[in-house]
Amino acid sequence: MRARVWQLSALLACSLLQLGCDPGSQAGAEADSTLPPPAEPPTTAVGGAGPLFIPPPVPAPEPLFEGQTVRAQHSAPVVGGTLLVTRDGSTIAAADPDRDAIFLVNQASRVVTPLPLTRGDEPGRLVEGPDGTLFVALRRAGALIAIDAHNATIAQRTPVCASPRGVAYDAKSASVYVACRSGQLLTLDASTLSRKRTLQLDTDLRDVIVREHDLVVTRFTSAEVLVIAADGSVSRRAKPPSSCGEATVLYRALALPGGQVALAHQVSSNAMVGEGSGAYGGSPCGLGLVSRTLSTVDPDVASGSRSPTGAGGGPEGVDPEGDVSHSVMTFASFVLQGAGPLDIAFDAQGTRMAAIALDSQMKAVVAAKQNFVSAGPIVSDPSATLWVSPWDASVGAPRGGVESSAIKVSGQPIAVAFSPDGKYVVQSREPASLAFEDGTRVRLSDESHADSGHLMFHMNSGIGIACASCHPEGGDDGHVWRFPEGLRRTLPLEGGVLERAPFHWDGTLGDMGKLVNAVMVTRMGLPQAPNDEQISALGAFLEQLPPLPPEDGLDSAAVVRGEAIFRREDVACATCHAGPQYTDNRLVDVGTGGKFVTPTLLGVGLRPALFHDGCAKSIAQRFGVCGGTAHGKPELLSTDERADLITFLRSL
Amino acid sequence: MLGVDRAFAPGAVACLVLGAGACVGHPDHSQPTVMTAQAGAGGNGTTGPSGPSTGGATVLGTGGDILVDPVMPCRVPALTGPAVFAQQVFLNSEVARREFFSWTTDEQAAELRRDQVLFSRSERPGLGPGYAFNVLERIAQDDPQSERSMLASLLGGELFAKARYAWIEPWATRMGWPGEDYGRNLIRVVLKPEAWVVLVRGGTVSVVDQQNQPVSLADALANPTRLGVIFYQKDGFAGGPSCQGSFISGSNGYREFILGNLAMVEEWSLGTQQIRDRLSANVDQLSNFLQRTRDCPITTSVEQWNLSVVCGWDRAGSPTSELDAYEQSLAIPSDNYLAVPERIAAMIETLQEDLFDPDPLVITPGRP
Repeated sequence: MRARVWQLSALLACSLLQLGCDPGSQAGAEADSTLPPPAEPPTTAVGGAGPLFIPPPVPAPEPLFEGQTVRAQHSAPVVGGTLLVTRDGSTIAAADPDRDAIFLVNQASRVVTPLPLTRGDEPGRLVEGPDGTLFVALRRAGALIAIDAHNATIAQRTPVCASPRGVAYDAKSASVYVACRSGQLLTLDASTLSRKRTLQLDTDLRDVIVREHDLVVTRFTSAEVLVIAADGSVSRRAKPPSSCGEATVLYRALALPGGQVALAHQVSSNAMVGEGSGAYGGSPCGLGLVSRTLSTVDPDVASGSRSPTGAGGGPEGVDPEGDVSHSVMTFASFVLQGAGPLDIAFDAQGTRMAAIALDSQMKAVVAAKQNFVSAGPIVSDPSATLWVSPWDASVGAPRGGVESSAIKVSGQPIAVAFSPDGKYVVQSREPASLAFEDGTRVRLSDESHADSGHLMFHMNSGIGIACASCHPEGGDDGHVWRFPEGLRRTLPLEGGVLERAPFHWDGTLGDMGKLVNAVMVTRMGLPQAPNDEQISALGAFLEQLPPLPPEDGLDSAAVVRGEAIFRREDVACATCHAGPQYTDNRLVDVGTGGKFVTPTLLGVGLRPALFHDGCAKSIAQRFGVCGGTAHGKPELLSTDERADLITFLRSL
Repeated sequence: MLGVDRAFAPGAVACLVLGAGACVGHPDHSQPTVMTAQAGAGGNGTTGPSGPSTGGATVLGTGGDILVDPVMPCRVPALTGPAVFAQQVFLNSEVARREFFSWTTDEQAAELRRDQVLFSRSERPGLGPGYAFNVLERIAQDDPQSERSMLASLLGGELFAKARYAWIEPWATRMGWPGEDYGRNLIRVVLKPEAWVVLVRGGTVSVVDQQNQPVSLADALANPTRLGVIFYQKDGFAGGPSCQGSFISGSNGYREFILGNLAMVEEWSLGTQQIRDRLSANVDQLSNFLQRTRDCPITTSVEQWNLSVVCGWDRAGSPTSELDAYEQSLAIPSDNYLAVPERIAAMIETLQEDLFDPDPLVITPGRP
């Protein structure tokens, strides 16, 4: 039976993923090797109604991570996109946000040169500029550094914006583009890093891609794709369509040949979410509650033209179409395996792709439970699967067949890239190392950042979901979920979540232990319950995640005026939004549809949605119809005062 | 791994735990379904009372178990008076109307003011003919010698060659389908009392007068100038929802009016105080609707919702809830109209932005 379950699973996986799965390929071999030994034949008994299956006693589960707990002094959430191979293939650069360092690896000699940064810099995206220069965004330091790869030195460091995310280099204009979470898109001179232009776009920017005549910029939680014309205007915007959910959390965008763009993102279900055992593992539309998706988009070609049978169109005025969700761009999507953070890579020709799936031994545990056999331990070094496949650009999907392969990579892989010769390289977090396609590995650092909390947060719970699925980078996905009790927006975790107990909008989960039990063990189906130490480690990991930096370019005088308004007793903001977390941790009914725990205001200016039901899409909308009938006294404020108050809130 | 997930059948577990309602979307609106016993206070199974209340706040404990209200499925409140949209409920059995609203773009609004020609275009550039006209063409070709085919041919020909889509309330079409924008300028059109209404549904045509009394197809063919407006509903015949029996299926259904016969237009106007007031009333209505339904919004998927709404139109009657009245008032049950706070708030914001300083243009066709 065990074998049959696996075969069915493999068939489904192959079918859903459109990946070829030859029985003799590495995929099958690798996956099978993770399963426990075959069980004894099931016991049968003869009863009046025929054979009765009596399951053998299930061995007690092994403790999670064999009961071991390790903690790191500092660990950063996985963001992907931290690995680069230079155009000439000579150097590999790995940004390490845990160790706050850049590691340069000579491809030929495999000699590693560390470039230490300042603690808390959190290096992220890298891009290659001119003459062996590498530009790296420092996500927490708000800076960009220029590295001289030839001499392995940091040539320059300049402040750019509070939260730089994507970086790109344009050889034609000798410019470096920096996309900031605040919505600023900066154009810097590649030689001096002086600022040439600042555009204020929508918040939550992620990656920036240089094309022939324009730029493509992505947004993180909304998964939007924006085309920025030469004059700085947004000429088009769209997001990957989904028939049974909403595209969210666009981890990575990469340029493909011909102006197309690859998007590694999630799709979050819009179906009703259960709260029972394993309820976060699926949705009625067939995919997981959060499925990882690789989409390609042609930003220049609109989709959804009318069908030959005559959809839509018509004379002037209202013009219901109702047949296709047409878009100003053309998307093609397919589902990837795994859960949690996602990184993808394409070779230079766009003919080969790789994606990291945060695999885990959890799935073997689940399979074992199905078959009444011992699962074996979940150890603290879960490997991950790297999917590698030829890419069919004509259809925007992997070309199936025996060439597709799933390669097991140990050590928490977090990023992947291709060398000019078309061979992949994988960056692992712990131990810090690179794995090459020829099977060799290079150790980047001996400094350990093993952390059970980090691992628990990012690992696949066994049913295709991780904490990080809904809380990417420790924040929130901006998604509004449909629970039986109503709509509930994902709450952020960064910036001191432990001080914000009780957890969840309804305040039913009083501490971390209850949260882990209700969500991770029950709803996410974690087969082995963490012990108290491990729960503490998860809490400690979350607690050390710094709050979102404030927005860029705010009027400091307005911030001061706004804070004074915020603290006015008659306006009554600080009555409930009190203390350093801007919450009194109480259940309050402010006329928005029930009693909810006062949410923190930290990072409120960058949230894609506000309130428990996501009613407001901006702070300004909070002061509109979504605000509730007993939510402070904003009606006392003039238009100018309200603007100042909003500016202050955006500074939190 | 997905295969293992399927073997684990978490979706099935969710359905079992939550009951059928969890798997098919929103529970019956009039009879809320208690789907599961929720974890009580502190997740320990107790469901203690709320703690002492101060100014509307429930005081929570500091450590240990916390006294909170248990999480329960939301309940649609019973109507205690007329529903917000009670007066806008549109029954498919009583389609006759004289007043319509049609949205148009800035460019076309400028043309209307300049040329004062209400029906000037046969199609939106690049989009071709609409569903209704394709259906009419199919009916026209079905049995060319029959009255219904001849009427369909007439409607698909010169009579409505230049036309305009409309509905009886501005809000119900402003948001349209995702990705489409019909403009922010509102036109009000009033038909003459003698205007007849053509119904195009289920692959056939019929005609009623303003009292919703049937008009024979022979009369209609003999008096084509009285055909003032077409009512069309996308149903199973055109690939939309099929609502017959227990095998209901499909999605992307909608309904609409198509104006095109200027001879039956008594008056049309743009930029009047009357239109502005109507928009403002819509804003108030939607704001009230949001407040009344916010604690229990719809949670089903948009595809399921579209199907249930469209199929509900034929069973429409006295609304049993605010949501029921809202759904019976809709023309386009698209994702933009899903009855969740975010969408309703977006609609309100859009309509507020559409409010204008009056600059009236009132045209009575046939008069200088």
